[in-house]
Amino acid sequence: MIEDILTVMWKEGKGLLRYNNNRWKSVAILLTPLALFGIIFPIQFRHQWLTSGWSVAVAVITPLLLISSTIAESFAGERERHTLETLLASRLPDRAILFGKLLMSITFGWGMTLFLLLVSLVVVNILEWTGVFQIYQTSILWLDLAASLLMSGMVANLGLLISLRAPTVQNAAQTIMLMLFMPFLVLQAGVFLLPTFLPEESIQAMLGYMNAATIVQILLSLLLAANIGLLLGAMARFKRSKLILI
Amino acid sequence: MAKNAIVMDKLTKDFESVRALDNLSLEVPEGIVFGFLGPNGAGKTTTIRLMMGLLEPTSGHVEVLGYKAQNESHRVRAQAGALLEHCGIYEQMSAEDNLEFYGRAFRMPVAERRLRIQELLTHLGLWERRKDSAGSWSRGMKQKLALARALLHRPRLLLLDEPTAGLDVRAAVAIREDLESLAAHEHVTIFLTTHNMTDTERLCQQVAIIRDGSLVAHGTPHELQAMVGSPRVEITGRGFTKAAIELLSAHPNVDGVIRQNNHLAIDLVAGTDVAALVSCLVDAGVHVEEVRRGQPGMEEVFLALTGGKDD
Repeated sequence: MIEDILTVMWKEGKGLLRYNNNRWKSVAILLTPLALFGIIFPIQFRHQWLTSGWSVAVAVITPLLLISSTIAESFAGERERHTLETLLASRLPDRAILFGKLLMSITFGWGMTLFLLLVSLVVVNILEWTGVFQIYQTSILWLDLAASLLMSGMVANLGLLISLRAPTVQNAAQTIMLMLFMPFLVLQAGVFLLPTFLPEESIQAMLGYMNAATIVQILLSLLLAANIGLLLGAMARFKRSKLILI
Repeated sequence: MAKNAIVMDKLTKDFESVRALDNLSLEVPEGIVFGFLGPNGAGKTTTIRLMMGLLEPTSGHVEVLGYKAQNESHRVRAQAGALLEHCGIYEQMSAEDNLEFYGRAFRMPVAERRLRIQELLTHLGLWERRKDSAGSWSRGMKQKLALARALLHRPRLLLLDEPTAGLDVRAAVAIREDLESLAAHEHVTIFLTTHNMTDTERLCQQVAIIRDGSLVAHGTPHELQAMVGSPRVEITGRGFTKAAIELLSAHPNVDGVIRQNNHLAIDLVAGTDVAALVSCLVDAGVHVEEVRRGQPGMEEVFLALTGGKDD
């Protein structure tokens, strides 16, 4: 099974570096967040980059941007280009096709995020050289690693789940964007509507009880739960005999 | 008695209100080239998809290489090679990488895989351009590459949906010879759908014709020709006047006459004395150069059995 997963990842990797058969477009996709988050932001924040939550925000946004722009291709792209049927007619097991595509997306999104965090670290050290190589504050580093991994997994799982039955890449990409923005809309609505349902004292008490660490734990737990739920959904939805849309 | 590579038993497939296959029962012996013919939308591609486990039948079942396609399709896919409706080539990848991927997918050892890729691409005249992105290739070249992919892992069964479509004459002939050789020497069973009646006549030991999802006829090409056509005689000559043709058409043993320039195709009642017919023409002033007995071609068989039109 692992050999089959690696085979699918190998194939996906070949396609990933030639997005829409255009190598320059692929390079642009990679360079834009690298230049913005890996160079411009650290120049702006300098030492604060290593101790504040800015790098965490970047660790969350980068995989979201990178994976959401490529994952729609996973199944809908194969369907659109008429390669899906031949792939499904091969001896590759269902799980190998699914996990191969999923893991390649996560490897791409998470790998690029880690590379970007490393580049930004080098930029900060060049700008503020103190004689020793400075690294991220331990809690920030762990948060960067965990948040970027969970975010990569969440976007990849969601994208795969949608792309599985989407007739076209455009349809898949639009649905993915809609689903990714949904939690933010719900959160925004919650902030506005909460005072109408709960008395202000209760809200104050709740906020007083929750410190930053608790909020982070809750968010990471929600991301983990979303990862598991979406993965199970994609596994249940991957049925060879349902993937060829007539 | 020869074993069957494919057994379909009352295979039925509905897509919502449309019945794509209707109680199709068919047996395909091992090691032959089997032609599966039908007009567009007759259910040929659906049948191949059902055999590969890419669709589930509404009722009935299909057994391929001894495995039930519904619950052992992974075993079928491991031993079969397929060239489906679309060639399924990854256009952003090179030809070599396309084959490399499927070689890995079929778990071929590295050395064997590389050798086989070189052998196939060389044989099909694609080796020099193996590093090119397949997207830059012509339709015919992609089709050849897709055929190479289907043959890569030396399958026991080949399912080919229009394998010579889009190929130039030379490539089509080369592929036809390859398929003949595969069936004859390597005992590969080839299940072929095609609209090319030359392929059917030259390649297929057995032919099945379907229309609207139902089996219309099944047999050897000769059996189908005998089923459809009355005996035929073809006469080449000069002086086919209107009067001579009318005389011929009025003959009680003549079912029909088709004239094409200096060539007459005459459908006869069984047991007709051809010599008497020829002398009748000579008496009418026709200068006869050649007389040949014949049977209707597969194209005429196809048209007769499918209602004469390709919808």
